[in-house]
Amino acid sequence: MEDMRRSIPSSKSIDEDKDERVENREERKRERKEGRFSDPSVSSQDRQYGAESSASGRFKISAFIKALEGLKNQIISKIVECDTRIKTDQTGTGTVAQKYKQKYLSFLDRTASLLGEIYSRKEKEGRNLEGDEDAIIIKAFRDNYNSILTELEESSKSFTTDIDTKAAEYLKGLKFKEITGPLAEADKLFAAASIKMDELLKMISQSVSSSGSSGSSGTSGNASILTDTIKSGVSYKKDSKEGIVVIAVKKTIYEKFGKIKALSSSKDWIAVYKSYPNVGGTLLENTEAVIRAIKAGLADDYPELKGDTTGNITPAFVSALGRAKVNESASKIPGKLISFEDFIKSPKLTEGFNVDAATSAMSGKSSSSSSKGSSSTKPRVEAPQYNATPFTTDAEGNDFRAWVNQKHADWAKSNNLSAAGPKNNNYIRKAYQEFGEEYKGTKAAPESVKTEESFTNKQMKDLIDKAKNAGANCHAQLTDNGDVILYFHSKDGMEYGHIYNNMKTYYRAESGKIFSGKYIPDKNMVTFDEGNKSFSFDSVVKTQITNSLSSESAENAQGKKAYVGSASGTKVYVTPTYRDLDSTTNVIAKYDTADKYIGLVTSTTKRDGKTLYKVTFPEAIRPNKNGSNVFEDGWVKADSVNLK
Amino acid sequence: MNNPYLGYNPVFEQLAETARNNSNKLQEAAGDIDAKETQEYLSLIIDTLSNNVIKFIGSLPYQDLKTQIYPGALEKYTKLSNNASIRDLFTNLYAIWKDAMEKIKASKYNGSTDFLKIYADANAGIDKIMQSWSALQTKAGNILQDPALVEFTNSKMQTLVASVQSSLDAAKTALS
Repeated sequence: MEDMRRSIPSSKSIDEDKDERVENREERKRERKEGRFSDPSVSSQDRQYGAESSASGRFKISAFIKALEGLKNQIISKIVECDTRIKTDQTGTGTVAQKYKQKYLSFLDRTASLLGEIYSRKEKEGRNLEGDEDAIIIKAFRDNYNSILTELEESSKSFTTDIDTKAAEYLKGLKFKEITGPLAEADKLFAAASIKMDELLKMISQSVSSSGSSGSSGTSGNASILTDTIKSGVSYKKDSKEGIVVIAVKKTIYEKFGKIKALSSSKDWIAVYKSYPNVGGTLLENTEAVIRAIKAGLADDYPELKGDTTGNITPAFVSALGRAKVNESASKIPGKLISFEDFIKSPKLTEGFNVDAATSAMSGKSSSSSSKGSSSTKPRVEAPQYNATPFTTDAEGNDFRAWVNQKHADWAKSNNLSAAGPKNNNYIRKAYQEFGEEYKGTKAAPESVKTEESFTNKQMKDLIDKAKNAGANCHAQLTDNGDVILYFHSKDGMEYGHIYNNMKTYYRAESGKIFSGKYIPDKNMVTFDEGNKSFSFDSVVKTQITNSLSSESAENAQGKKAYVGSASGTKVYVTPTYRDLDSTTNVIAKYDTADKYIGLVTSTTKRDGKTLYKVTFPEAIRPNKNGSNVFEDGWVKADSVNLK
Repeated sequence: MNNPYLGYNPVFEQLAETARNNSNKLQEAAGDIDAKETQEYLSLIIDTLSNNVIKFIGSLPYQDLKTQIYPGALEKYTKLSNNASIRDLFTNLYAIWKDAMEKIKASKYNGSTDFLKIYADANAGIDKIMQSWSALQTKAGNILQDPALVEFTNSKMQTLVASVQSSLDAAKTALS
């Protein structure tokens, strides 16, 4: 029967094919129209040269890429300028350039990461992100872009002012005004051009922000638009609310489960995805079969899907589909977020997927979620190898994940354990088997676990607004569960942190050292584990606490042993005098192995508001093997070490 | 003779006159600028011109236009460290800019007034630098022909080109 169906498609399948052909044709027509966007005759509006806005409530990826490319070009040219000024430095602007170069590099890093994400999105999603369905992703893209742009604009202004001041001073000292006069005028013209360039970029940014207005509210996740079930057996129009969801569900299924041969080689799958990434809003026989299969395959991990043998798209199914992913390799440090690409798709997503049940359901047999009842001989992708964890909520699981990532960073890295993810998959189970006892010991006061609460996305959005009102550089980011979390950072991006929806807070100092704590909503304070220090929410999100958080008072620090911070990535520079720590150019030793012993703290001082420790080394250090310099002691930054 | 305590000395007066004449001749040849000062001004003008040509071509906000202009400009720029004369360097560097401006004006973005205003300002700035270069030529005259100064200029361009290339390489790495 199956063979017959493959060779002679049912009438419903033929309809589905036809619908999709029509939709594909329309799609191509729209593409051609968009190709004319750059034609100046279309409109004289300048913003059209940067990014087209959308009337259809969609976020146009190509427009966003254009805006990002413009931003990237601007940043690179600033870096090139800084480097050249540092190299030549005739007018004394080299030191100014040195200061700004780090900022521009951090902007470039952030822009590169956004570009990477949006390009992979484009590859998978095509031209647009859907306003409703991808609202939170769109918002995060925009927030990130606007945040970089605003900071770049501020930096550019002060950079231009600082450079102009220095250059003007230099020119003033030169005697031949017939030569220096035109140069001074040229500098003014270039400064004016730079300001106009920033304005143009802002205009492009506004154009991007205005596209896809329906997605701007931001906090609705995939499931939020789906309050009612979308019934199968209907061919929905591509632009209809239902059609948009059907398409998104089809694409998500393809991306997450396309690697399972048993599914992707089935006739239903082939019928649905033969023109991928072009898929339509049809929810007919083939799509129904695919959805049934996925429901059956997921039912082990998502019991709410048990017994649902329909091809309907229910809120529970969309929710499970959205959560059914584990990007275990994304996080290297606590609080690091997965990329949007990983958010949507990961090759490891199918770790708990019941292939037997899925293939049975696809072929119209019993859709029992139990593998025992299956007639197929194919094994599950991965059988549980470890005991279940005791965690009852994802928030508890995430706490443990974050703790492992912080305390046993190397293990977490080599075992691909991310800082956020499902509470009971094989990765976390393995970690719990390894470190469960140790973790329990750290949770001697179980009250905090018992009273664990989670903010909703709406509450997180309020919290983010509160941080913004306080003047923090911050925006929303996503965990791989689709939860909104607050990301905040210093102006230069060297210090940053996250507040999760379970109030857990991570704060990374410039040195790379990470501090964990918890946000207390009632008091609007964050209490950190280290030294049990508390700070106001505002000062935390404005990254004003590094020094107080990391330093001990002089009398407490002296006599203690200094170790490299325990978070992976922490770097400790040791210099002969505390002044050398300003630039870390005159370095005796550099350590980046977590928890490595450095020496005994013998004195402390403060410089530019930062605490510095003088340490006596266990053995004298000779930086150059053949050199005559031998150091018995040196200076380190307080925020890069742990004292014990 | 201005000194009232000294009497008239025809030999001294002749020597003084000769010195005055020679000084005027030197003044005519090179204004009152010396070789060291010439080098300082020249270096400043080259830095300003080179930085801004590369900066404004590199920061073209439209990727398709940048792709059309920047690689060719950069290729020409990297060959600017082997000039037979300083004048050649300025001619070539200015040509890179003018070529870019032509392409900008001929592009599909020529209807974007805000965009064109940016490059009109930048273009006026470049022209001002060229004006400064002309003033230096007038002032320094033959000093600019000095082979040592030509060598200095080439070596300076070598440093600038290397700096731009290493910055771009670093940026590429960051973006990859």
